[in-house]
Amino acid sequence: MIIIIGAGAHGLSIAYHLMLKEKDDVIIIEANRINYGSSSRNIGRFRYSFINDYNIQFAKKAIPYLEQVSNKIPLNPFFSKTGYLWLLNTSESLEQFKKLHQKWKEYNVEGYFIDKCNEEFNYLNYNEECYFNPNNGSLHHDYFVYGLYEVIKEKYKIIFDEVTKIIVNNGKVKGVQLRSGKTIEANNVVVAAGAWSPIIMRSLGIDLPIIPLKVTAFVTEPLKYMIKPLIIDSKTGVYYSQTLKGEIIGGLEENLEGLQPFTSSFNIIYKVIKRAKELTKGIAGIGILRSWSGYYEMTPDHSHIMGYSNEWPEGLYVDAGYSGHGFMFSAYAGKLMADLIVDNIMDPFISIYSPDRFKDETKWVKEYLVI
Amino acid sequence: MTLLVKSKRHHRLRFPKDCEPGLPYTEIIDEKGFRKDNCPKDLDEIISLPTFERNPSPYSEWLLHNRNLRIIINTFMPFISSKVLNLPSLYSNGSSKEIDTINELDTLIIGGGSAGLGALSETENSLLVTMESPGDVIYDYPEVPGIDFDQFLTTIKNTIKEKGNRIIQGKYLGKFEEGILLETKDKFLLIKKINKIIFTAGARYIPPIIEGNDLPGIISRNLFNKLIYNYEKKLDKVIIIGGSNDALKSALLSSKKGIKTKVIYKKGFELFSKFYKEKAEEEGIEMIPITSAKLIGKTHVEGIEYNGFFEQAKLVVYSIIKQPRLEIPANYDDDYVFLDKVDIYVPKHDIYGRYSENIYIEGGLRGISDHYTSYLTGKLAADKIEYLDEINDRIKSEEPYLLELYSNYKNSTYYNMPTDSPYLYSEGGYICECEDVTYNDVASAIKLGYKTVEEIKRVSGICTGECQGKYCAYLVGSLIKSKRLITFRSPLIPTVI
Repeated sequence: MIIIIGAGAHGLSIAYHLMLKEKDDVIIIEANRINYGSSSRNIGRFRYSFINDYNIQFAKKAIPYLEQVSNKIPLNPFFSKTGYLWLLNTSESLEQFKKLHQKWKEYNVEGYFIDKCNEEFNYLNYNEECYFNPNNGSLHHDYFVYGLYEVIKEKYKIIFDEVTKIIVNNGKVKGVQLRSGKTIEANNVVVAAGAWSPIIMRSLGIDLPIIPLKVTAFVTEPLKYMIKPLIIDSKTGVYYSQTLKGEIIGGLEENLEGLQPFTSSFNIIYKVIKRAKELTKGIAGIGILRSWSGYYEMTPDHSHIMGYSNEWPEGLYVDAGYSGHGFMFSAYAGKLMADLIVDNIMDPFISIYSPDRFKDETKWVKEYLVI
Repeated sequence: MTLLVKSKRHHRLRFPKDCEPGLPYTEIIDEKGFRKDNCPKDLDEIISLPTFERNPSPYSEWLLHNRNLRIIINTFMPFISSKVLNLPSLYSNGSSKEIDTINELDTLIIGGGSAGLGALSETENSLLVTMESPGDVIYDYPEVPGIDFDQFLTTIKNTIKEKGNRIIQGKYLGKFEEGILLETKDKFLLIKKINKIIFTAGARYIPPIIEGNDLPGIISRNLFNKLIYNYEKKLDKVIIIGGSNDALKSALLSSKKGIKTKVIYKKGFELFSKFYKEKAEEEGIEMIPITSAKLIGKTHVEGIEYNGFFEQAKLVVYSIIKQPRLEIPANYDDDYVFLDKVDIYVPKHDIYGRYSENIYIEGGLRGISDHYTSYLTGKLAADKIEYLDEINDRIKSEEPYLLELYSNYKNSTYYNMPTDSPYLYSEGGYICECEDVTYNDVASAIKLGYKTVEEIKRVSGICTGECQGKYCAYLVGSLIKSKRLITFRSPLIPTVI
């Protein structure tokens, strides 16, 4: 029996891949609802543009695979290479991107520099240097997650309850205990509970180094679709784009750590929309329609944790801590995790992203491009 | 001048059903990007609608999920989106409103109806925020059981006059990380701490699920009452749909003005009290139970088909069951209950209207339709508990189904009510007019096995449009008898910053 804790993109992707392997005994345990965490709160993007070589290599596998899965599932996530556009309006960003461009060229995932940005992106008020990467893009978060769910729903049950304890005996995982008092037996437990993963691991005295960082995001009233790429303003850190429905979507993180309540910060919304209006033509009078908040799940090196530690009980796995790029990596991560759990296949990425790496700073996968 | 607006996806011409900020089609953006109020101010705007070309037929959103067409659809999706969706090209007129912060407020009353004014009349350090002019009772039928209506109206007007300096005209935008946000004509007010919040934001009527329900020519009883207030012409062929007292009140109000109406309601959902039923009978207002109905018309409502007959209709007015504006308290804290049979979602509260130590829910937000009862509950929020018995008696006689919320009161009418949705008159029409999601689309999602409004929202797109679920969340909730709706997030109304 395999228990997956968390019915977000990662949990459901693992389930999806277990089903492809024709595993029968799988149960998913979800404390709230399908995609309650970051999987419903992200702004639906994917990219290759990372700083760390391992993350670029992972993306080179994960993004095409994301497209593959998106074309298979019964709901259409509208996977589209709409691009990312960085406004290089600081001297640091200009320098940084010159170096990054070289690195990305080596991996064949580069973009290109534009001298006068609004000559190509005419809705912008910004007419200086920018960098556009057409390999990156967007997809619809709900259709992806529910698309995965549609595939597995007949075969695997989701129990809506909270895991209070992982049960271990003789150094081996035996199952989980739930808030309702029920116990479920299993010899394999995968913790894919995003920002809530550390709480679950704490029941075993394991310190999983994931710290949630609050992000506020919003959508506006819709207008004719024109802003295809995700625009990132180096000067303020603000990022925004447009959904296929026409709403302008934007966000920014706050300096608030921990499992903060999911209220939205009015100050963040104010800052982001005012900046977006400065940078973009034709949206001066657009109104905010809805706002929400979520977490970036930050690890010490800002890269994800997958696999297991040799110090952990046998049968315990983790797949969490993806800072701001968890959703886009979920399809491929699920595949690697399923291969690991069922067939013991240790893909090189499993050791790279091992929770054991934090003991040795030379093994950290340091990622500074968190969006 | 109210304009017909083309809907986003299906390009069907629509007309606002109710004039509440945030509801569909109450505002339009013109070609220059300017915001225009699209609320009808005259009844003639609805009954003499221009005829136009036939509306395009709805297509199913589920087509976009077709696996065989997926790669083609996704390649052209950005193009389709920019060309096919009917959306404004620009939004002009930015805002320069600053944010004023208030550290602490003693009491905030949200809503200026009868209950809000009741609370205001008995509290000293309170501030009342209202979007519309306070005292909407002036638009309703001027007879309320057990009291002298004119005297009541005078009391209301006096409260507004005497306590006017504590009434702010503004929008309640909801809870944010930093506090509660209000918006007035000139600024944003961010209130960090409020010692007591009295939610008296009232209720609205939700359009029925009926074939043809997106055709112009069907409006809410609240809008209807406002429009006939100054209407002096004769009118007939007005059909009121719904088994609520408010349906009869609108019919009686019409009668006073020489407007001939007929009330039809879904069999089993008759909630008329003796007081209003007798008055309606006296006035010769027909009250007809029906099993199903359809709205007929090519480009606007021309008639209604029910019980096997077709009847011409110049206007259809809906008044099915009073649904509290749950978004407002639920956005603050989302403990609410689903009252089965009548299918209303009501914020949790005890007989005093107490949600918690510092939060009160009163008036229409408790589901109450009677204006005087609402007014008295406002006083309860100011700890004037001496009104409790009178309130209980009035609810028992006028709207007894509400007592199910508080105790083991067994109302036999309630228990004998049918178990299907009081909104469902025919399996057709639109559920979400903002995103053009039809009844059939929602039925497909239900067939896939989804049992909560949240899940149906995620796979069909309902509640994600401009009104953010102010109609469709309740409709779908009622259809599937879901105990929970969606998360109602801030801002509660589109806000220009």
